[in-house]
Amino acid sequence: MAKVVLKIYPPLSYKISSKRVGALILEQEICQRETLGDLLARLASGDSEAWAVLFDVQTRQIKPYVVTVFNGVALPVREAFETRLSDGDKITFLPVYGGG
Amino acid sequence: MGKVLRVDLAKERVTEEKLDEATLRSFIGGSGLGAKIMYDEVPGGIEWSDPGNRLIWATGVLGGTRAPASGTYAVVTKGPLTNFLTATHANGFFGARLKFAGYDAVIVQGAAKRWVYLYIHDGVAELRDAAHLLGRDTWETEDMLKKEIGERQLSVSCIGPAGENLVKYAAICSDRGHVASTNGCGAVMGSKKLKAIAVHGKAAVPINDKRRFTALVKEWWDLSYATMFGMLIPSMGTCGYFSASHELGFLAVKNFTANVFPDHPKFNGDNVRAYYKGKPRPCYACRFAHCHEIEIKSGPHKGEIVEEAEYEPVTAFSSMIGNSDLDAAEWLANLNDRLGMDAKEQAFVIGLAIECYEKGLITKKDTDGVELTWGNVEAVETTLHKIARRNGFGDVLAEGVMRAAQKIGGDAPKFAVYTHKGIAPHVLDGRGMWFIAFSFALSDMGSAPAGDMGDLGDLMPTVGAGFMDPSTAFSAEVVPKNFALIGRRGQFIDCLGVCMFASGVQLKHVADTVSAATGWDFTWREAVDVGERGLNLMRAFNIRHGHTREDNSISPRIAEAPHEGPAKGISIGPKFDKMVDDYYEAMDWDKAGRPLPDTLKRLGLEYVIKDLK
Repeated sequence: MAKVVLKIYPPLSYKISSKRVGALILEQEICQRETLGDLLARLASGDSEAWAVLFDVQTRQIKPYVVTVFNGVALPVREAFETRLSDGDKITFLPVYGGG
Repeated sequence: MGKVLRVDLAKERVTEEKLDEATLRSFIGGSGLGAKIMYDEVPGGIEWSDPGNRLIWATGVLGGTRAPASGTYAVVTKGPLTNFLTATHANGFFGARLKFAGYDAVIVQGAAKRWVYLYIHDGVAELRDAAHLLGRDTWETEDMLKKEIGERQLSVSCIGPAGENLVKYAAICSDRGHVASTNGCGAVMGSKKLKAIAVHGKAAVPINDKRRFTALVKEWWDLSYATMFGMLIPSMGTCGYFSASHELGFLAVKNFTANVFPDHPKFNGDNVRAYYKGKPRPCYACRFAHCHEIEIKSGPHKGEIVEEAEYEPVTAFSSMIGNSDLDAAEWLANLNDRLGMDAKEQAFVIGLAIECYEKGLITKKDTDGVELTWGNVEAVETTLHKIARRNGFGDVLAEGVMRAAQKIGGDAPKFAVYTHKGIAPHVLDGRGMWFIAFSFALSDMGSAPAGDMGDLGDLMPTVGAGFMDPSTAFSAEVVPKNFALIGRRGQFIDCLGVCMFASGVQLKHVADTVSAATGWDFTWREAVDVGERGLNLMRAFNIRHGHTREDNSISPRIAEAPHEGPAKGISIGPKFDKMVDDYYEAMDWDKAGRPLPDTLKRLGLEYVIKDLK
């Protein structure tokens, strides 16, 4: 079975997991021709409120304050959901802005 | 609303003035009002240290209300690093208490013959002798004035030893750890022999429509928690994106000689909060409460109580100097605040000095025996003290990164990180996110308006995700246009007297809140105009003071491609000139960066046209 790895940085991970320090790592099996949006929707089916911090189920879009890095390359917010997944892909979700 | 205190230090005379409503509505307050006063009162030829320079503290129309985090104030002056305008902000309580005392702004002019401090309370202001405060750091000064005046609800905005000694990047600090930092505003204060302003008051800030205002503020907070700031800052502070900036390649590491810092998780907000378990110390009217008081847990300063440092000071004293000790980074950031210096410039000054030492450009002979190597936190601590007092090698570094590099000579100017105006950027590696490098280089206020870091609100549908979208991190086409739009929004936010972190909501909501507070029929389009007006007036001020297109450039190190990380091999350098052209065009300026007459007319700045001929 093909697998991908999701790495979710806090505080994006805080509602998904009780882990408080360090990024949450989730290894997930994927189906054939599955997109990142399909995978996230599947994960969210158990607890949509927890995953709502990452994406909007209605509009099928990653939240504008979340950066999605796909195999080392940052994806445009509007394209992330439709990205096709393959075995071994690494997807990182980051909170980001600059300054302070 | 609209009362200004004018302080003539040479004559030791304090007077009151009233702002007319048209001026207030056109400039709102903060850096906009400050720019207007600077333009009207400081003609070309006045240098930063001339008594004719003005030093302005200004809050805004929402300052001291219950609007989110409305204790913020701007400091506006002509600063020593660029010898151009600077507008820089500090949060905390000072801005609110200035309003409670009855004033929107304080204009300081002239230079005192003796060291003084200004005491403002309940519509009364007086200059007092400050000889006993000399040499005291910013926290000690605050503590001494609180004891002397006997008022707990007192805010003190002051300089430390660095400001007294005219360090070119001296800062103004208030409310323990809140710093108006950019472009040496603390040196201007030192040049005027003004050690501090202490303020308290009891007057309520008038609100036109209290019921509507209260409802809008409640909704503002609700909406704020759905913004990137609200999602991140309350739980993790601004260090909450430390690891993210590393993953995306814009964490500043070792003076831009590297882009990989394996210890980044230690400095990320989740670990900082778990390690210290600090105590929240929120600013005025702030629910995010991201400011924390912490206790140093190890090393020579174990047990000291300090402010949890923000992202940039933490970066300045961790990855930028090759230090992996969190306690040491927090301590150095705190010491830097107390001595009264800008952590941004300091990061690149110390980074440059260490790189020059490691590469043999300078030796122990030059550094007064201090071994300035990567990660040597004791050496950095010693050097901070020397800079603040212009002692030995500290006198060279006190000139700021560009001038220090010129004094060191050899290849040092190639190593130095600065924009051509002569000032260091924020402590972020803009080579990994071009919006950062570009906005700092093009800004007319020293660093950049709040918008460079803010949610785009209503502008979002127009410009995509802007700065927040790393997929356009290296887009020479998108970045200039986005900055032109985002800058307008950011400049408006900088006029209000509220904290940028709590201002990520839609601009329409902010404009409605201004309407409820003032009774004006204020729209979000008018808000964008206020921002654009301020940016154009700042540009016009700088042109009158000698600014040319050449000043909108970057140092060779920023133009280099990183050797590692996500931006490896990618350089902004070859594209920079075209980006400047595009930005000027998007701002309705000519190819030399001068606002076009039609632009000035559109913004109600007709009186500026003749000055730019």
